[in-house]
Parts: sequence; structure tokens; C-alpha cells
Amino acid sequence: MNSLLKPLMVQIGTVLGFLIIWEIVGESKLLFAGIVPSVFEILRAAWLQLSTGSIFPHLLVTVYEASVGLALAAFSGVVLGIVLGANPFWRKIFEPLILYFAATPKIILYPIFLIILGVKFESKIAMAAVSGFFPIALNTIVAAANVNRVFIKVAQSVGASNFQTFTRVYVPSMLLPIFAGMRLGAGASLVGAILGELKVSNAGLGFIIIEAFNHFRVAEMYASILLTFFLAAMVNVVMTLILVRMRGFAH
Amino acid sequence: MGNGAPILEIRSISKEYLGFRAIENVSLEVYSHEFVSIIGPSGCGKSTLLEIIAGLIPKTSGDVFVKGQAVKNTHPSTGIVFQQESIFPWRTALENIAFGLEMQGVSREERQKRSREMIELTGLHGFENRYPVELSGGMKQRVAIARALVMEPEMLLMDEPFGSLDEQTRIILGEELLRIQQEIGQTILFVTHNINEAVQLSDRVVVMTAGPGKIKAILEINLERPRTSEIIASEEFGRYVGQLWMLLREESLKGFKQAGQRPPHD
Amino acid sequence: MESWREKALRWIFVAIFLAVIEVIVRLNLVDRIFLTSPSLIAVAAWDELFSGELLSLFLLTAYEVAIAFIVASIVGLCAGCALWRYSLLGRAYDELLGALFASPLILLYPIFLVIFGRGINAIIAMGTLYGMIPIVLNTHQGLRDVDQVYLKVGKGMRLSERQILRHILFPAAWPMIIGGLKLGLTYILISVIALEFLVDIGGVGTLASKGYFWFNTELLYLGVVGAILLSMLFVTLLGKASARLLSRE
Repeated sequence: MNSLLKPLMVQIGTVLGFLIIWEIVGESKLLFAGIVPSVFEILRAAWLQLSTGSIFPHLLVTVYEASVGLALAAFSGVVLGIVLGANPFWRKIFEPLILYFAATPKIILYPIFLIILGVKFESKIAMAAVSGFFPIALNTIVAAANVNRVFIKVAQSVGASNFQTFTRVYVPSMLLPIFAGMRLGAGASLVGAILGELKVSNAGLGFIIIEAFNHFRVAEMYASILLTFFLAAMVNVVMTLILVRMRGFAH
Repeated sequence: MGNGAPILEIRSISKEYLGFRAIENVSLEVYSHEFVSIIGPSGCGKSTLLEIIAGLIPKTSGDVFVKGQAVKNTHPSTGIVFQQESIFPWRTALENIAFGLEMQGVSREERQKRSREMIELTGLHGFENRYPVELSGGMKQRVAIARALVMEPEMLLMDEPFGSLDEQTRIILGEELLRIQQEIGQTILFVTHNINEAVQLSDRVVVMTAGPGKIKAILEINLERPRTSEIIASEEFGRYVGQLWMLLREESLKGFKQAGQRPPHD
Repeated sequence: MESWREKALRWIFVAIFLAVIEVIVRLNLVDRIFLTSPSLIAVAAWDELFSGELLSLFLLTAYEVAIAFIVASIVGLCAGCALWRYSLLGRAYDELLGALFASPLILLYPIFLVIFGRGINAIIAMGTLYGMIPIVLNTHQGLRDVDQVYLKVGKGMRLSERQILRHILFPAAWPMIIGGLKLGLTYILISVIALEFLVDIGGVGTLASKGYFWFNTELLYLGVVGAILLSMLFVTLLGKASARLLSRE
């Protein structure tokens, strides 16, 4: 019992300690006034955004952009992933290219999206899509490539057609790792959309963060960032719960 | 056999883990130049015993004497070879062998000289600069043995060193080990679960009981050395194996029952 | 290991892709404001290179990455060792750091701008944070994963704790530690370029931003391509370097 509780205590203690140091630094004249607002001020600003509902239209915009982007990323990522995963030859040629691109900050493509798609939702959706594509594609490639050969042989030996083999053997065994990729992709899409909103935008969570920054409404900025993190955490938790349930079914 | 005072003497060694007795009241003497094997069913604590002698784990009670001196922890007079791969993958064979000497501060020249001698002795000529990833399982164990021997231990402790090797390699390495032992007169205490191996290699075989491990019997193997393939194929060899199997079988069945398994059909 | 044939095919594909774009642009199938041809990008690159602009941008980025990496490595390695040494800390912080790493850290950058001011230091600080986490986690994991047998060997030879640390633990954990350093460096580069783009202070990331705001499509694509090439170069070099450092594998 103790061994489970102790790490938790340390974690809680660390967070509390951090908050206390934050308060102290904020109160002292160490940094320019307002740079490190009190924790309570930040919480108050967050509460304000929630209770007045001012955050919700922007939240909706971001979620909308991220969702559409994720859908696009999921579709293209899974299709490409299956094609490459099932074809070792093509995989060897193209997977390294995908890996190279995965290591590039997607935000660099944003101006291209701005030019082609304009300054409204579409460019952010494109950011979300591009960001979410890579974890999904890469995970799907591995999932498709690692379908147990033995199962395929079993299916073929009982005379299953190609379609049946695909739906009855491939798909079930790929579901879990693909969904694991989706979980990463969801987080990435969300961040991608928000990054797009940080520049040349007029709506969304990223927008209100940068607005607060530009008008030096510091506590508000911290609050918005905090709420955004909370959203990201929620998305992760939900996806993880689904993943855990899927794992349960797999056994 | 008994050449004067024993190199290793253990008296009434017991080991307890949280109320569970692994070994109980084990006493044994090993004399200079002797090859003594310890066999026993799984879980009889033979590896535990070896590690206690090596000083790697503390004993609950009893004493260990090496050359008459009481020994508490690890002692330079004991060298140990493990069953698992224990040579460092980031060092070449030669560097692995020289490791202990390097840690003792022996000069480079001296280290190289002694390590190369060991390379020759353990039949690793030509493989000095290979990394473990380039060596077979058998060669890796040769390196492990060489690493222990280069420190010139009074007592070499071996914990199922050939356990993870295939049968042919095991037999070859067993022969090699005997050759090495004859050449440098090493005293060896050898743990194994393989009865054939025990009879092939040893002067005496100690049979341990199922847990808590005690000494059930000690058998003297009066076969000639070197133990050639004729001797291994001989009737006498078979009789020793049979004797040991009878002694061991009883304990193995007990061991199965303890582990909650159904024993194989009689 | 891949055959030269696979490598060649890949680059042929890339070349075809670039050629298609070149053709599309030359035939004016698309408005010049949207897309520009590889050859024009190359010309712009040459001009920039010539004027020394490109070099100074590149050096700035390199400087930011280097400082962030040095700090992240020192702190990360020490912290990783501490987490291993004091297992309670290890168990507590592994989870915490893992959760932190999975969160959108980049969104914290306005905070760094507020605290460090709108300059290079904010970028270096963010990069350091990004790089530190994988280094700590990997160092800790690497030390934890060391096969117990090696430690038994050291103990059996009566080595001091320092000797075991230096001659057994570290060499054994080295591959994972290197992996962590590699990952950290990659994340540092990504975050530095991203921040340069977002904040417009200087460095490779700003090219694309400038290109957009000055309606200079060539410059924009140069910035994009430049960043991509830099990342690719980076990944390749890191791969080769770590293969060399781990030559025994």
C-alpha cells in the first residue's frame, strides 16, 4: 500500500511545491510586475472565461478544426498505412520519406495553407490534418505489416476469400495498434489546429491565447493556456479509456 | 582428493527469505585441485548456496572459510561464472578478460600478457578482438571463464555455466574445462542440474534435497582422468549416473509437489 | 540495411515529384502566388546563400539548438541518474514526466516569451525544456534496464560503487542514453524551428514567415523546403553518428 502511495505523495508534493514557488516569485519583485501573476488570479481568470462562456465559441472552433483535420488524417493515414504496410517493397521506399517529414515542424507548412486555403478555418483544418497524419500513418504501417502470418495461413487454408481474409483477419488484428496511432493523432491534430490559430486567425483557442498575449492580459493568457492543456488532457484520457476497453475486448 | 587443509569450508550455512527456508544447515569441504559438483532438483537452493559462498548474498547463519580464513562478503579468492550471458557487450573478448585486472589497477602490459595467456588457455585464439555479439554462446562462456580465471582465484564457482548451451557445445566445453583444470590445477565448485555432466566432470558429486535444501548424499566418482569418451560410454559411468538419478529422482518428485505441479507419470 | 536500389527508387520518386511541380508551375496551371517551381526556389536559395543571409540564419538556429542541447543534456543526464539512484523519485517522476511529454508543451511558448522576453533566450529555454524530458526519461530507463548479471559480476569482483557506475552501469546503459540524446536533439530542432516561425526573431524558421508576409512565394517555399531539408539532414546525421557511437551493435 505504501509503495503505491509514496510516489503519489511525491508527485502531489512536487506540484504543490511548484505552485508555492510560483506564488513567491510572483509576489516578490524578482521579475517585472505581471509576468508571473498569482495562481489565484490565473484561476480566477480561468473561471471567468468558463462562467461567462467567453471561451466556448473559441473552444468549439478549435474542436471543429481538429476533428475535421483528424478525420482527414485518419482516412489518409490508414489507407496509406495499409497500402505500405502490406507491401514490403513500397514500404521500404516510402516509409523513410514519411519519417523524414515526421521530424519536420508542421507549422512551417502553415503559410502554404494560408495562401492556398485562405485565412479562415480551412488552413487550420489543414494544419490539424497534416499534424495528425504522421502518427496515424506510421502506426498503421506497423500494424498492417505485423499481422500474424500464421493467422493468414489459417484463413487461407480454410478457403477464405481475399475479402474475408481482410475483414476477418487483417482488420481485427490491426484495430488496436491503429487506434493507438489515432490517440497520438488526436493529440497532434488538436495541437496542430491551435498552432495554426496562433498566427493569422480570428477565432479558436490559439487565437484567444495570442490575443491575451498581445494585449498583455497576462493572467488571462495563462488561464487560456491552462484550459487548453486541460482540453488536451481530456482528449488523451478519453482516447486512453477507449483504448483500454479495446484491449479488454482483444482478450 | 583431500590434499591437506580444505580450500573451501562451509559450516552449517542456512538461508532464509521472509520465513521461507531456502537452505538449511549445509556443510561441505572442498580440497585443493578438486572438482566438486552440486546437483539437485529445481528450487533446492544450489544457486543460492553458490552465491552465498561468492559473497553476493548474505547468509542467515553459518560460516564460510576460504583457506582457513572466515569470509563475509566477496573475496578475491573466489571467482564466479554465471549461467546467463555475463560478459560485457561493449568490450571485446580480450577487454572483457582484462576487466578484473584493470579494475585492480594492474598495468596495461601485465594485463595484456595475462589476458592473452588466458585467451590461449581457453581456446579463444583469433577471437581476441571480437565483440560478444560476434561470438557464439559457447565462446561467450569461454570468455566468462577466462575472465574469472585470469584473477587466479583459489576457488572457482560455476553456476550452471553451460545450462543455456546446446548439448554438443556443452560436452565440448565440459572437456575443455577439464583440460583447463588439469593444466592449472584449479579447484572448482560446479552447480548443475545435468547428471551426465556432473559425472563426466567431477571428483565428487553433492546431491541436495528439495527445498529447504540440505545435503542428501555425497558420491565419490572414482573414474580415471582424463575422462575420455570411452570412459563416458563405459558401464561404470552409467552406474554412477544411475545411482545419482535414484538419489535425485526422489527429491525431484518432492520438488514438483512443492511447486504445485503434477509430477511426470512414474 | 537497404539496398542501393531501394534508395535510388526513392530519390527517383522524389525527382519525379519535383519535376511534376516544375511542369505545373511552368505551364502556369496554377497561380504563381500559390506554388513556385523547384528551379526558382533553387535560384532564390542561391541568392540568399550568396548574400550571406542564409548562412547567418542557419548559424543562429544552430546556436540556439546547440545551447539548448548542452543545457538539456547536462541537466537531463544528472536528473536521469538521480531518478535511478533514488527509486522513489524515479517512480514518482517517470509518470509525471511522461504525462508532461505527451502534453502540448509548444503552447507554453507565450509564457516563455513573457518571462524571457521576446528574444533568443525564450527559444533556447523552450528548446531546453523539450530536449530535457526525453533525455531524463531515457537515461533513467537505460540505467534501470541494465542486466542484473553485470552488476553481480562487478560485485563479485569487489568493485567500488564508483567503479561499478563508471565501468559497468554507464557502458551498459549507453545505447539507451544515446537514444535519449538523439530524441532530445530532434525535439529541440523541431521546437526551435517552430518557435522561430511563430515568434519571428531570426533563424531558419523565419524565412517562411517572411516569405508569406512579403508575398514572396519563392522565399516562402525556400523557407519551407529549407526547414524540411534541415530536419532531414539532421535525422540522417544523427542516425549515422549514433551508429558510430554504438559500433559494437
